[in-house]
Amino acid sequence: LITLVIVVASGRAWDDGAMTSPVELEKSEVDEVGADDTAWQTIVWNDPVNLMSYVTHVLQKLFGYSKEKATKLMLDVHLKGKAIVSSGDKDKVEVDVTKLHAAGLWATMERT
Amino acid sequence: VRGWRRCGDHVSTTLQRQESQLLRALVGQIREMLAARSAQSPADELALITGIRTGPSTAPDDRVLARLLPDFSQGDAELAGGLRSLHEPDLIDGKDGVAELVLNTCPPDGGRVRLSLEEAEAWLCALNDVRLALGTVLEVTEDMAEELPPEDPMAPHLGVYHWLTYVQETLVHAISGS
Repeated sequence: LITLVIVVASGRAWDDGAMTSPVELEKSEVDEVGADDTAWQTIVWNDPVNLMSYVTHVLQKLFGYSKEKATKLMLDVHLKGKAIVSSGDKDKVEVDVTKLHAAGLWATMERT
Repeated sequence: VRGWRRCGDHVSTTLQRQESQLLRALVGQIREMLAARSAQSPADELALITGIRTGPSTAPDDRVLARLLPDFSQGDAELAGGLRSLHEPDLIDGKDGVAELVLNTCPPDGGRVRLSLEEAEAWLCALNDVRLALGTVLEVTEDMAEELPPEDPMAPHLGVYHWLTYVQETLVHAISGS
């Protein structure tokens, strides 16, 4: 995770009359693991138990998708075997997969 | 069962006595399986102090539990193990919670069931978990026959599975008003 830590330095603004900036921003990279952390996606896989109507309903409810979009994704799952249903940083996708598991869908996450 | 009907902000149906008993028994079995899984990873001292629970990092050996609690990643075992450990306790709580709600709202001797839309969502999840469990044991496929020959020992179980499918399907449509 990349975390930006903003340090507000206590600058002495008019010290010696020099035009130093009163505030300095210091960017600190606390943790460099997963530099491409913004690029993850949630995959839903086809399985023989979940109902097409239920999968559509879950995608609408969890992600706020329109009926059309949810139906298209569901059909991709059904006909192509899988579909990317959401994307974002790792934390977001992790939450999405957790919600899908709670609803009983077969979902995984991966880097794009 | 005649399927669910939407009436305002509620949905309702009527269950026969044996339907209620069957559903309650199946949901109860899911709870027992989940409880057995939880018991495999008792809270340690650290969890008691920090309040952060961790579950096992490996998938259940049991194929039904493995389907109810799938891996978070295909191909990245380390990621899958870490996320399972982190999220499985809450996922089990969630599945146990919807199962408990069904037991609290499904009359033991059958009769009318009336649910708020929020309760209906919990029923959907619980019904789905039961279908996942049964479907895994029955090894259902998308193109399998609607009925097995009567002499097949699996035939009655498949009948239960199809009945649950009907209950869930009509509930989805009642909720979404379609």
